[in-house]
Amino acid sequence: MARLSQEELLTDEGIRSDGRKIDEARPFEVEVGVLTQADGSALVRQGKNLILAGVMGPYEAERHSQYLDRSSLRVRYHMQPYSTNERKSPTYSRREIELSRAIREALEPAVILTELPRTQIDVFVEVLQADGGTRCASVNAASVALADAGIPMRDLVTAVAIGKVRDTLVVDINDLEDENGQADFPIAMMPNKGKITLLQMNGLLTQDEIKRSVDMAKRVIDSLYVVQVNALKKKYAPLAAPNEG
Amino acid sequence: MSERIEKVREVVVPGERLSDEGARAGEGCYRDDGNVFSSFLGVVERDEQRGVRVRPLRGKYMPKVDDFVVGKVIEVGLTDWTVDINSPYVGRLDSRDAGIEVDPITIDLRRYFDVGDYIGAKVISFDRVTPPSLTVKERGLGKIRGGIPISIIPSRVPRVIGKKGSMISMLDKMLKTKLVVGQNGYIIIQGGTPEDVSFTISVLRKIEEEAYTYGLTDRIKELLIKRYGNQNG
Repeated sequence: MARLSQEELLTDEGIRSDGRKIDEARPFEVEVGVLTQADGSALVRQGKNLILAGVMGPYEAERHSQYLDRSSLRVRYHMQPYSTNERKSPTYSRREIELSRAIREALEPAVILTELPRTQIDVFVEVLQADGGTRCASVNAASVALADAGIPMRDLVTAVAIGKVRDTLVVDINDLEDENGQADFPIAMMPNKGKITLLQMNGLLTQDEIKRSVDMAKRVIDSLYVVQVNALKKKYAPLAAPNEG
Repeated sequence: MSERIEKVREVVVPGERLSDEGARAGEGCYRDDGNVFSSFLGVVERDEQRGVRVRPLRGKYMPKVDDFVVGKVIEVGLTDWTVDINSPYVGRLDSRDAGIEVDPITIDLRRYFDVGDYIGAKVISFDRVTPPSLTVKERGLGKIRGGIPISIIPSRVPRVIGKKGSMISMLDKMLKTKLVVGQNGYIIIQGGTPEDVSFTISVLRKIEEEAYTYGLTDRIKELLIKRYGNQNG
């Protein structure tokens, strides 16, 4: 694919390649409990990203991988061969191993692992369709799936990637902006605590841009968080609501 | 209905703030900076004395001392049994807690409980580091002979039992089957015709499904009367 110029990514009027404004996040939808066999699950749509997260556990960990004082959280991030416009080999790649770890480390501070010593919790993230910022969308799906599995948590985790195109900061970057932009800056937070659990960067940002990015991310995260919470509550509210007239 | 009661059955997510006036953080909650937060996806219960607590909507059984559990024997050792109790932690029943004098050379523990047997047991100790210990030495505990096992979400067992046992005593009286209900969510259905058993399962599933709704006991009662008629006039 030909490289896009910075002017194509952001017009003089401040319109991005997919028609969004610089501070406009992509449509975000969460569906809880889509799998019946898994202990918890969530399907997330973030723009054209379509991500399924399934949680198994907690169950007693194998001897060699158990901790006496806490649970061990394992995350497997995997992309389907049809998830990108060029076939992706279904074998587990270096990049997937790295992202699995990044996602795990983004989730770990939120899960109260010490409540479940000697156990193991497995999170499986399948990228069904990728459109930039899959690690963030994966974190969003996985944290909802963990809550759905009844696992004790301090907070949900919500993530968004800030990017830089045409020397301008833009929120929730898509694949085009990720490929052709000047920076990719994924951020995950525990929204109620205001604490950052994942912060990575690819590209170049000034100190001031980093500060502004975090503020922009916080605003987007707060709005994505509401969608996550509503999805969880919508799934289970009928159970709690009085249903006689 | 007062507003207070409306609040009581509210669904909360992990990290949601439940109280800031320094209320006690009960089960399913944690305290941070003087505020109480939920640590589960669950239903809030506010109690003047016991403070705030959250009952998880999903999740596995966490053993508690003195709980009656229904377990399935999955391994027979020389001096103990390994028992599946629907929890990440498998239970351990020592032969001493089954009242058997141990002499591994002459006694085959399979004679008492074999793999696949269901037992009614009580949790005697659990510290999360060693497997939960079980006992069958008390009255009413031991092998469960016959019956059909089903499993429900453990956090919804209190609803099957009801306030002061109101639900379970009604079920016992009106169903044609007998229920052995473990706190861990395993339930054994004994007796009755196949139709009675499948009706019992549908009643239990309804209780599980609608565990957090109001007037559940009345609705279940209606269902039972419709099926078997009113037995107590």
